[in-house]
Amino acid sequence: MLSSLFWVTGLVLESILLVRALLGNSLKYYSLFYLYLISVLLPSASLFAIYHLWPNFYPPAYWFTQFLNVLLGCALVWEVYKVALAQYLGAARMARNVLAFLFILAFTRIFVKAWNSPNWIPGRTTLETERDLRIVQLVLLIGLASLFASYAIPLGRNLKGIIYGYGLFTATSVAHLTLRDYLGDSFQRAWQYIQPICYLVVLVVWCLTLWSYAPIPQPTHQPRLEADYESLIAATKRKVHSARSYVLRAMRP
Amino acid sequence: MKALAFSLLATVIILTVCLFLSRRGRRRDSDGEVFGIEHETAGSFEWDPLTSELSGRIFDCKDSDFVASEGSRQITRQFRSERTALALDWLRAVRDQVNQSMRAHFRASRADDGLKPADEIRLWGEFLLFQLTSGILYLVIWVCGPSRAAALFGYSLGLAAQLQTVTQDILPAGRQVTAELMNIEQEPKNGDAAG
Repeated sequence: MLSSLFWVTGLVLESILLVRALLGNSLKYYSLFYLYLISVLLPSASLFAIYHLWPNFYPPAYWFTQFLNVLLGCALVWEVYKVALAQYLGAARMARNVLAFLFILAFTRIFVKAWNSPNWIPGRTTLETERDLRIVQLVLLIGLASLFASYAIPLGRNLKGIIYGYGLFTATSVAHLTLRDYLGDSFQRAWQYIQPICYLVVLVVWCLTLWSYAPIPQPTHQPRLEADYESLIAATKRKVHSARSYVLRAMRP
Repeated sequence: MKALAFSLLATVIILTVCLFLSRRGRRRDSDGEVFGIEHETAGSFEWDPLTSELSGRIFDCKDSDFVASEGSRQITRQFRSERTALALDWLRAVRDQVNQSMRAHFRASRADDGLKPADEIRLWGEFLLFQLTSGILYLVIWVCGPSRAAALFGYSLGLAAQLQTVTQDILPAGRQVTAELMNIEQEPKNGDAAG
């Protein structure tokens, strides 16, 4: 009963988000995010019907929609990167390199597991496979968030909400799938209430931050490079190096 | 147990990133105003001789020895604790300046199409090395006090010099393994560089 209530509340909140996006005309700004939301809403509604009418078909249908969600989740991370770094070409170049490195690193691990697996899927089970893919997303999201923080990229309310919400969702999914894999059904009974609550929190965060379109703030003073990039990086390196020497010299007896 | 650690790690990571982002966000809100100051600070990063001499004095044991010989035990203890606080403040100030410099660099380079990721990563390496060095020093100063920390540093320098000599004796190629600390030892002491 309670899980059905969570399910319906989730559907209502997702619908509200989509209606607000349609009314506020913000679909065009975050198209992949809303596509992701539609891909969650429609299967959720269908699964709700399948769960009550044809319970036997529920597990395969669930796993199919989950993989679709994971793929669209990757698209969502891509959109965060594209929108946030549209005006910051240098940071975007850095992000491309760092994300490519993290992506290769994470997928190499998955492919090695797939190579060793008799079923030619990364995990022993679909659950483990989904967890591995979620870890890839989490690693990419953390890498991206770290870059935003380092380069002081202004994100705006909408984008921050997407990152916080999706980050929380992915982290809880990784935690859930890992614990479910190790602890088995006993854990599932507790988690069937915890996970929907976490997801509802995510939806509330999205409702609050994406209620209306908020453009990404532009810095009032966009610093310009007085010299070329080479001189700038050489100067910064020199400063860091000289600071280290200065500290060590001061301590020299 | 492993599963629990894994889930805890994921939660801690995401919470840390959220906290980090929100802290940065608050700082970014005053982006425009702050940048002017940071840029100026970054431009005038040179350490003047007076500052160098004073900073060297913080770690010098002469003052401490003088107070110990002239004052009571309580005054000596008080002097040491204040010197420690001063040394930690000084280290924090240097770290702040380096952080400001890095922030200024990131803000200036983020929109530049000519940014080279390899160079940026190398800069990150330099920065992390600085943070590591200053972090260790901070800990040592906090635990031992500035004069003892300096003595410990001197001892480690001596040890490194001995190690270098031994390496050179055994392996001629060992010459290449020259620690940066050794180079620092060759440079003039604080204040001496003023001339």
